[in-house]
Amino acid sequence: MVSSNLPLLLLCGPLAVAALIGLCPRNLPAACFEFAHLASITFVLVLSLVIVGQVMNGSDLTAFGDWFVIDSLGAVFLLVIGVVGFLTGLYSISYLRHDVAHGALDAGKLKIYYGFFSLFLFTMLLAASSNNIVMMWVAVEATTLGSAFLVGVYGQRSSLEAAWKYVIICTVGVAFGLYGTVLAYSNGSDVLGNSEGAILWTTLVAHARALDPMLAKLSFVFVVIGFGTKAGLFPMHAWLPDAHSEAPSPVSGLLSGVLLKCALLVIVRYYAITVRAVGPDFPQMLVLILGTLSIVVAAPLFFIQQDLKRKLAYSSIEHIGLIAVGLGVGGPLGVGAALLHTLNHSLAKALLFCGAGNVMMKFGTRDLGLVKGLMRLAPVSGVFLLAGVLALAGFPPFNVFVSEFLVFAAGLKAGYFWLMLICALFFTITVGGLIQIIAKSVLGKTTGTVPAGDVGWGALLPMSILLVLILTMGVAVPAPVARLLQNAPAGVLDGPADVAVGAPWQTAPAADPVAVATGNSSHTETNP
Amino acid sequence: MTMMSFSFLPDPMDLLLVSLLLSAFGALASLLAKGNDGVATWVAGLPGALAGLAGLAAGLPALTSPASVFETAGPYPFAHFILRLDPLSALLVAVISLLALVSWIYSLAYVREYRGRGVPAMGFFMNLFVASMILVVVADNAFWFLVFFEMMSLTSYFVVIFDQDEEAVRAGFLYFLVAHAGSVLIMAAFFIMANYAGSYDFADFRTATLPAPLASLVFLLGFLGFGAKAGMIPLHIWLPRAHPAAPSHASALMSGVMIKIGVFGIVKVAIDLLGASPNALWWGLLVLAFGAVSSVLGVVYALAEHDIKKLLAYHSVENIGIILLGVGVGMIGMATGNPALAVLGLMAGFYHLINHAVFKGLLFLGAGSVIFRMHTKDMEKMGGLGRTMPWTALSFLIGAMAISAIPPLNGFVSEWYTYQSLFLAALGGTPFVKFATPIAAMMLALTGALAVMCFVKAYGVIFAGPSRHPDPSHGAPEEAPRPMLIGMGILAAACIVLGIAAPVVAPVVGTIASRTLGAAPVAFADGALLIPAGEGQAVLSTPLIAVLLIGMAVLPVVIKAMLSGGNTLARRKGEAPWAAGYLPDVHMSATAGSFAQPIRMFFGPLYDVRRSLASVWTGLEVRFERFVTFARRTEPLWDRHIVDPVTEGVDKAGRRLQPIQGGDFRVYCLYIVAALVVLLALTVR
Amino acid sequence: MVGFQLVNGLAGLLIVTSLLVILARRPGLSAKFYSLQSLVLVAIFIALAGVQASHELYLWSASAFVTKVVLVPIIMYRAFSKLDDPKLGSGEVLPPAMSIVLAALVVVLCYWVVSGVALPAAAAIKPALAVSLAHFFLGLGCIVSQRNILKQVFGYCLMENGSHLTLALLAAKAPELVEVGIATDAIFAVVIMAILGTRIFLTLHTLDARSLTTLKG
Repeated sequence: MVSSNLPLLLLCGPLAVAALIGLCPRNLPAACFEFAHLASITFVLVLSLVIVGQVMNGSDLTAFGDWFVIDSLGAVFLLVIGVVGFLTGLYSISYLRHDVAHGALDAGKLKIYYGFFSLFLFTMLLAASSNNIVMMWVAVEATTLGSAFLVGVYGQRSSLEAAWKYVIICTVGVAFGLYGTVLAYSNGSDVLGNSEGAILWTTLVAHARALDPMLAKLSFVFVVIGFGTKAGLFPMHAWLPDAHSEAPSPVSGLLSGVLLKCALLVIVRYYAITVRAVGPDFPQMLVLILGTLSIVVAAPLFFIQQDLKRKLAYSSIEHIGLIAVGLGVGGPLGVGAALLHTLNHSLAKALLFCGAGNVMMKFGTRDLGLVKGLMRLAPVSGVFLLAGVLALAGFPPFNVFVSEFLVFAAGLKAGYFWLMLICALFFTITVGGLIQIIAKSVLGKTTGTVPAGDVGWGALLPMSILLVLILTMGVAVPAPVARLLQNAPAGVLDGPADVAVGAPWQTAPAADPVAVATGNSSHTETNP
Repeated sequence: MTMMSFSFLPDPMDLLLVSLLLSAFGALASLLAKGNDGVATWVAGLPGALAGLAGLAAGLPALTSPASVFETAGPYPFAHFILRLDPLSALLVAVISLLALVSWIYSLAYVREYRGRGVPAMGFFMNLFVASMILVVVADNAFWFLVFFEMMSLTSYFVVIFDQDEEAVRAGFLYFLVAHAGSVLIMAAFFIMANYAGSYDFADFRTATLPAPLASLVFLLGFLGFGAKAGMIPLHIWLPRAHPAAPSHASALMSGVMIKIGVFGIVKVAIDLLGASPNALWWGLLVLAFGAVSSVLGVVYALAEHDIKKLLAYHSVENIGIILLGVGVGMIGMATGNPALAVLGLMAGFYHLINHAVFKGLLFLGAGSVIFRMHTKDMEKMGGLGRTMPWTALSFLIGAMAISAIPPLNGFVSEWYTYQSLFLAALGGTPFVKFATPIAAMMLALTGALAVMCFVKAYGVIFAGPSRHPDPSHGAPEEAPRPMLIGMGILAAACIVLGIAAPVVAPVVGTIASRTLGAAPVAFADGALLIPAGEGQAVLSTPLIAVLLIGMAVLPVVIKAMLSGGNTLARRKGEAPWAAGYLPDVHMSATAGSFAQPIRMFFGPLYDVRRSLASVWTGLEVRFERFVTFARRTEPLWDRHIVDPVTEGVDKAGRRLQPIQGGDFRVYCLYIVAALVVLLALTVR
Repeated sequence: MVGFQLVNGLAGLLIVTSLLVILARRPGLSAKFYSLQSLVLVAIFIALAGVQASHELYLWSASAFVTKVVLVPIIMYRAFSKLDDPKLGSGEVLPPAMSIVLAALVVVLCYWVVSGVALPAAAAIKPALAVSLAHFFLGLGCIVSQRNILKQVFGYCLMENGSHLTLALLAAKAPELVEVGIATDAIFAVVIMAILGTRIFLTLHTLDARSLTTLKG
């Protein structure tokens, strides 16, 4: 633990930009807002990378008297916020320009969009770095408030409806989370005898063994329900398809890629407490049930959905379900696989939502029945969408394949054979749905009503970066990230990390995979 | 044992890597040639063909040499990148490479048909497809196996949907789903093994000992997963749609070799990987049963087809069945501790695997040539092509005779071995085996008879008789371009060589089988005689048959005469056939529908040969037609009971579930409460 | 133990006021009742602070007074008294008598649940704890049973008061900054809901929750 000002600095940046934009007059030229926005997302990216780099080197950062802690676990999510936040933010600029140019968005809304974008980033950073459990709750609640206007920014009937549902369902759901938080706190303060320490997650984890088991269980139930609402686990997921489909595409990517993961982080934090307090069985059972249900319900809904962005939203529910299943399987492999999937899904989903944004820009609709032949009209966008769909479907050499492989490997290793088979078969349904996207919308014959030509490079650049990241994570998890993923489960789990089957993050820090890969050998076996 | 010496060639593993690099180069070069289809055809085709050559040069010597391994650290610690060229994988490598070589040569002309429709993309995906097939068979780590297996499905998917019409897209969708579902099962099988082996390396799988029930589960998962890829009934549903949808040279690769990877996988899991675990007799019987059903139903469905490529696709189902019969006997031999039987059965399966690849590739290429000229797949609209496309006709005839198991061609040899293995199995073993194997032999006999019928029909309708083209002004088609003829010629020659040179080939295949099983080698040939596994119960000499046939010079002429509809003996070129004084009419000539009746008359002698071989054929003739009619009725059942319920089920499930998302957020809030109540109840119970 | 009895009694009063909020016909009236209720809440805080000698709770009650008794009701009053949807009527799904019976049922149920849980810190204030939980569910009930979307904002506020009370009962010594965070969230939530509600009224010309069901499937 090293005390550092970096976490506070990281939080202050986007907050200051949000406030600044909020103070600006509405009729300022768009370039001013874009500049402030760019400064904000770059600041977040750079600083979060710096912080993650420090954590990778083995020093957890704390700030403000332990109220903020960034450990390996938090760093994984910080990485997601920084990278995906930056790339979707970058994509936003050209997407919004297009919207303003085509009259879909009032130029005056730019201020709202960019202001709340930074605010939203701030709230998510707060959620990922907070060590004070009540603050954690406050941050998650604040993410809803920060993003509500982003969801409803178009101001149409449907987007207002989506925003309203989003706010109501999430505030109701997250309110349950407060009960969980309070229960954990009062449980901890009884044990510790002082009220200051019990509010810190690190203290609670350290003393988790002494906690009252029943209260710890109840607390975890409330937390799973409350933050599970925000994470999009079935049956608390209901806000998700509406919000994801009605928000501007980059915001959908941000919601799906980052927001859900932040809520998940809170669940993982409480999972760590509960595993120590009552043993792994109970928390694992809970997340396993919800995770499996999410997969089972979301897959058919995904399959028949005809609205591209709603489809992707159901896929998010499914993948969150898979992450939950990874946590539910438990063990270093399960938790590690879940965290790797968190990273991978964020990248893939961000790419896909940006791809959906390109579809919106080209076709002006999300109805897959009307989107045909993207590959012919806009080849680059087509290739990106194709790659994104294949990545999400879990095909090598894309990253999701690796993490899905590991989640299933972990599940089978833990003896959940039938459960894994069921999950895998439901994922096959998803693959079916994804292949239909390829066959009907990416490929296929054009209808002739849409002019050919790709979207601008401003939209394609962040997508190409995302694709490169996806491929990199698919071909070989970079050594620093691997180290992070190797350390993170240790903070979550209780007990030794005995792993029979190796996993990508279990490389020794010295053994850089790239260095190992260079030596090859060819020899002959003797066979009877 | 090695009768072939390849010492002049570089190390097989190096050649294999060269082959892979060439394929990769072809793929990239093809993409880079975007915009110029002519160039793309060549830059994809030439490296592809060279890769095929290199692959052949790698595979053939490795058939009988010790396994060689290429190893390098993978990107993940559990995913060692290990390639292993053992006899079994070398066999597949050789077959894949041969077909790839031929297909690429063929494509140089054939792709003209696809100008302006994404030729560079086709070259890209085809090259990757070939490379991934080779990588699948040589991968020696479960992770990489799955990676390449998925890559193979994916690249071939793009080839299937190449036309991008409604039908191709639907066929591709079905294909992809079945393949992916199969790979999920395979993945499950590998995961179970990995838990026991402690790593994902196949080397560790081979030595791991699983408890009997788990070993059976692994086998079942692998069998169903790979069986879906192999296209055995009832998992064949995708095959008759996907193969016809692809361009013909791709169909040749898919039907010729890709489905063999399914068989390879079954052998790999059941014999190679589970070698150290207890195996059960019912595994072999299960394979045998699926093989028997697939062979009979496959050919029956083929009989009803008018679409030439669909017909060929159904014959693939049939032949996969025949291969599985051999493999099944091999596994029975393994389970009952009869290594000679095991080797014989497996050898029969492998031999037929090679043969089917060769003649099915040939037939698809032949069909492609016809389609290339006629622009239709409907056989009812062809006819009389033999006159203007003689070389195509001859190649197709050789392929048709081979697939009909007419001696001395290769199909006959492997079917003969399959019979012998079934008989040998029937001689010993448990009562159930004694009961099951004759039934399988009977089914095989039935299959053979029907296959003959089917190809007489197919050849006759396409190449004999007058033209039935609906548009009379449509001129007689020209012979196919030279590269296509060369491609077909190579395979036709292979059909003949693999048949006549069986005394040389059979021991090599037998070695592969015995090495795969880890059993002692068994004699398969004695001079020019073929003998089944050293048992003196039957002998055969294909060279002798060939000599006899050539000696009876009349016979080929007679066959040709019969096949071409009876107007060859006194051929009057350019004139209509004599039609009893009436003006010749299109309806007079034999069509696909009218060929079934006189078939037994024409091919009586061949039926007799079969009868003496199978010796179980008597008394079935009366019920024969009834059986065919009945069996054919089952064809739509697979769709109705497997495909439709699944897709409709998912659809229905989705629609049933949609009310969950009913739109009223107040109900959504209640979900949260309900979830809370349920979880709390779980907590305090 | 007088202090605890006071706390428990005031908690009972809280239920009555929340029923008033739910059953009030006009949003403006609801806002006034809400202010009244928050006043009761503040009183509970002060009583608790006295009983538990919690310095933090005095601060809480001060900030709660500013936010809940003054700020939030004013915001809601100003935002909502302009909005009226005559077609909607009362927007109640249940008749008022039924609501009261159900509310009583919820209180009993919560009491039963709370009495089953061993909470060493809160043995004396279990009735108040039950009330806080019941209050939370009453708010939820308000959201679910009312068709007027403005009533749902009040429902949220009631939930918020309930959970706030729980927090005060179980975590009386939590740092005041935490309380500030929660209060800030609450105010922002109300502001955002008020703005969204107004925009919905201006765009859809109705306050009926049933007209917000076009997104489905």
